[in-house]
Amino acid sequence: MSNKLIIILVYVSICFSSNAQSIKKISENRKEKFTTNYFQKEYSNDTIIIVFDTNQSSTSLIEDVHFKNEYNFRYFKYSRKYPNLDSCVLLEFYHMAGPHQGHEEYLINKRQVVKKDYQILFDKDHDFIFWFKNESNLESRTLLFVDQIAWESKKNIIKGVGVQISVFGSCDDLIEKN
Amino acid sequence: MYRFFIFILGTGLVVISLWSCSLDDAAPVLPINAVDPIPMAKEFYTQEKPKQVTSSFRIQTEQEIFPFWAGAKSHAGGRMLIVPAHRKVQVRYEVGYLRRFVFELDERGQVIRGGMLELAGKELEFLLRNEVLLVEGFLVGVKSKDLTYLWSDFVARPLDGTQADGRVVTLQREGEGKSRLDAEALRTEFCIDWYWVYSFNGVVVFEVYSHTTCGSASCDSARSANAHDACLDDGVGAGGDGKEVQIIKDPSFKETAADCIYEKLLSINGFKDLASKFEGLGTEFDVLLKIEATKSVTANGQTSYKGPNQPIEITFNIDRMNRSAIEVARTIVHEMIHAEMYRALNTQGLADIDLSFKETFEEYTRQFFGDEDIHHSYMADYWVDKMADMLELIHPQLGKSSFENYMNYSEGYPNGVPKDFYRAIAWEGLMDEDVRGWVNKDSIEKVEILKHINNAIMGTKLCQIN
Repeated sequence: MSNKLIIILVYVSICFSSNAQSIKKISENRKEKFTTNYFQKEYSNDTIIIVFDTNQSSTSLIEDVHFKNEYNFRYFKYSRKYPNLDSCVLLEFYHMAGPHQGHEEYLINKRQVVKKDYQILFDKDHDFIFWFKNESNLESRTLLFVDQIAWESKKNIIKGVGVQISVFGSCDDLIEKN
Repeated sequence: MYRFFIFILGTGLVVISLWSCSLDDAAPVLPINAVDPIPMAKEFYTQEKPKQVTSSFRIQTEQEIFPFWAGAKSHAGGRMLIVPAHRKVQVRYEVGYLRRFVFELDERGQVIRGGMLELAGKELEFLLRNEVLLVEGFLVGVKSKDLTYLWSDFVARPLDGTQADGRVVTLQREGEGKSRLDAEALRTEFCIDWYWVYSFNGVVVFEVYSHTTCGSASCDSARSANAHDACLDDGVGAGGDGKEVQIIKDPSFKETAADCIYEKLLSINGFKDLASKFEGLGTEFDVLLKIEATKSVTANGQTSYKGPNQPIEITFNIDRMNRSAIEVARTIVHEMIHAEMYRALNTQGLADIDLSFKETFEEYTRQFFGDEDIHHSYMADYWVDKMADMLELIHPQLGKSSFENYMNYSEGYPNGVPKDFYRAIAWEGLMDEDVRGWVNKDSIEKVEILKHINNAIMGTKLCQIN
């Protein structure tokens, strides 16, 4: 067997294996220096994929860099308001590469995660009440955030990032003489 | 010469020893059971008490405590006398409480020591059932780690407040600001909250609400040893003292994490003041605490005013009870403030402080429309800092140390949890575009507040009863 053939076979097998892997971590955000600073999720082995429509008009984005010039940890937060609910109501997903979340970045094989029955939550299928009721449940699991555009694209391997969920309840908390 | 000296010394020793024996024989030891300890104790009390009356602060403010001799009981073969310790004051004890005068006697029936022993913690039934055992144990230095012990002289001046775990307790009034007015205040309808204050190596580590004494002119009559009137405090107190307890816990609330957090909040001064508005005689409104689905499914909690003579209902959203303990504490405080506003607005016989609140609140009613906006705007202006204080005080009991540990990095909270964290979480539930205090904040402040609230989510969800 010629050397060229061996190289081609090795390349194909690498591609095949990376494609076969459902979710692959591609970052090294968690640093030993902060070992004691990371929030310990109760069910971190339980991974849930969240496909979120980042382009909705009521959704805003804040970006920042933590530990500038040292680690340059990426931070971003998508905040969603709900015009039909009061102004206190807010849904947030934030990616915090630095402590205390230490979120990582991933490559996600769409076909594989569907095939392997990963739990996938589609933004378009759920209203605020769903996120509000399930916040505690979700916050204790590993959440992978995927942009809806990427999910709907033809690419099979797409990027996803670890996030944390946060919801803010209604200020509608008074009832008089009912 | 030497032999003569030895003879004289030996004879002398024999004579002296015989003489000392004859002294003992001249005053034979009576069996202790044959001696009535009450006259001995009375004599001891009568002789000792005048020496101790040097204006004990507690006596000034809590009224004189006196032995109810008719209720005295002798134990341990006459070596121990336990006497009920009465006083004339209106009081409500938070937990089981027992106060007794205790006299320890020797085998001759002589009083070795006497003083006042206060026991607190656990249920009253437990204290009464084990009274003799607990007092006897205390006298020989055996203490239960589940109880609070305070040994004082006859004028309530602490002599020994050491607990089983080495902490030292004192009983202090709220704020411990010694005021000459207090004794007078007690006689003129004012109430004083008292706290068990625990110290270790001189540093206060913990405090727990003990009881509230309320004075009244009718209680200011001369003391009598067998008084059985409305003002009599016989030193036997259960939580609520069998009188009206007007914060009602629905079964859905009892023994939940929220209940545990609520109970811990009651040890915090500011919150205790809030809760006390619904407790005690003469309050017009009860509060019912329950956990179930709220009418607004997206609310953390809800307060319902149902009109006069109806309890104000606070419902905590069952779907939101699994949040961090500090967040649940925030919701409890927030809803209790709503209840307090309804109480102060709707109570008929308003105190001065309520009238002042009502006047200010009416100003908000003119500026804002709708209950939510009025309440929340008022809360934002007047309660955020107070809520922050309460949350800061309760946090050590709700996993603050572990929270601090993982937030201890340069961009987290490297110098401990800042006051801004507590102020920020107090804002949750008030971040309404119709709340003036929130609208007036710039976007940087708002982002900071949201960041702190996101951090609060990571706190422990556990609440453990001490």
